Amino acid sequence: MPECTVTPHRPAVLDEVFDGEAVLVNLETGLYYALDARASAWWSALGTGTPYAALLEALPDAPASAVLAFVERLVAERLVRVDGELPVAGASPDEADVPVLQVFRDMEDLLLLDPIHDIDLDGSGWPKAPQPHA
Amino acid sequence: MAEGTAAARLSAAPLASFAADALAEAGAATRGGRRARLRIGPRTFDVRFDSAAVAGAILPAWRPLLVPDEIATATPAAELHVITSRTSGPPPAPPWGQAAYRPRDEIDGFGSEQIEVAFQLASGTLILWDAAARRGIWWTRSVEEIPTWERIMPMRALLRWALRSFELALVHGAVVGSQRGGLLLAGAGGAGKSTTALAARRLGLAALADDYAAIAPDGPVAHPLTAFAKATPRTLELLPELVGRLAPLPRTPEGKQAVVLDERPLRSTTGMPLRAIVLPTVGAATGEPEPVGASAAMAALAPTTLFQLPGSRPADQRMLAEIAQSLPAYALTVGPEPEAVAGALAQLLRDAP
Repeated sequence: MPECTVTPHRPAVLDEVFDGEAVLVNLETGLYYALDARASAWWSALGTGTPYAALLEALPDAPASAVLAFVERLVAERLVRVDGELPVAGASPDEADVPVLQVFRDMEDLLLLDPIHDIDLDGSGWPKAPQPHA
Repeated sequence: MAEGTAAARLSAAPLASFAADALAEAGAATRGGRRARLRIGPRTFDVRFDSAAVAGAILPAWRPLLVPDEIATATPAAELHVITSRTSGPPPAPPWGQAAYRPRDEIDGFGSEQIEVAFQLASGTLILWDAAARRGIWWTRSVEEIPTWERIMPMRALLRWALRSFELALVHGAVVGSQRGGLLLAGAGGAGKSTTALAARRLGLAALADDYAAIAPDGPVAHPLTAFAKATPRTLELLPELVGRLAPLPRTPEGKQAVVLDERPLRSTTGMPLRAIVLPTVGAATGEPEPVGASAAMAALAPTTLFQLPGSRPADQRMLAEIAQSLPAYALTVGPEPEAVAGALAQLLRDAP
């Protein structure tokens, strides 16, 4: 198995666990997530970063294919970063074996509607007042 | 949002140097100018203005929160300088380039819990907080460019950083209550928080906040941040009694108008102890409150509070989590009948532990 380490994407990702259910907030993307109990346990197993092999050992009852699918989802959502290479996916896991990661997009617009256009600086080194659109 | 990154570590020294220069210039600009003592919960802030004009733009929102000099006895917890470039010239040149400006007023690679910094491009406002010195700056381009939403709820980003230093969370939500205590209404924009809070007045409940409140997690206890609420045209149709309480401010770009809240509850020095969190959603009719878990309360509180302001840190999230975990939470469908909404909230307060 190739070696790699999976690490929560700090400081952009903030997380909190309530009675076994985690709420994750990604400050970079404007998305937030509710994790079911199993997803929360798998997320907690990452700690501050863990070798992928150690993650599998920490989840002995989880099919390896499901763990890989879960980590790949976390990567896609920019919730973790991977240093090294993840294993190549084999057979797809049973859907029931992969924990639920519910994503909420209602706050995403806050960033999408606040784009930064070209900025001109004035003589004091600060941005000029934006010009009204024609 | 740079704390903990390599970029943030590299920028720490230049940012500290810039902050020292900016605070020195800010102190010079406001020396001899108008001063005010702003009380938020148990803390008093010494606010210094470089001109009567900028004081006139900001202070109306804080009127019930100001402590007259003749009775001010507490040593201020922190010092805030409010300046306009048009009066005092611009801040010192920044140590970052023009490519560093990011959404949410953040500056790429700069800012940490020790020294927070942000820049509002639209109004040209530098916002800076030095946690060790307990001094902050709100340096805007001109009084004329201060937007209405800033006049309604001034300096929220700076206040959040300052309050954090004193274990007070600035929380996106509305607060209504009575002698029995208060309810924290949480959820994204459009969930009905403001209208629900203003409707609660129909049954004698006080609206302490409609958009942001300062909350001490130890309690939790809520404190007001402004004398104003924001009402949409629809809210004014539902609650026509508010028309007589409109503040003389321009509408926001979204068409909202400022409404003056009842002052007496805002003047309380002890705040409003919270009894529950309510997650309103707009529906055809007002329903029965449905208990929900702390994770649902956190999902309602955290994203809007953390996403809408620059410089969100783990400490902000921790305080929100403490609040979410310490109160029962309820989902509530709110309909178009203000009395029904007010009645549901009053009943929740009577039943809350």
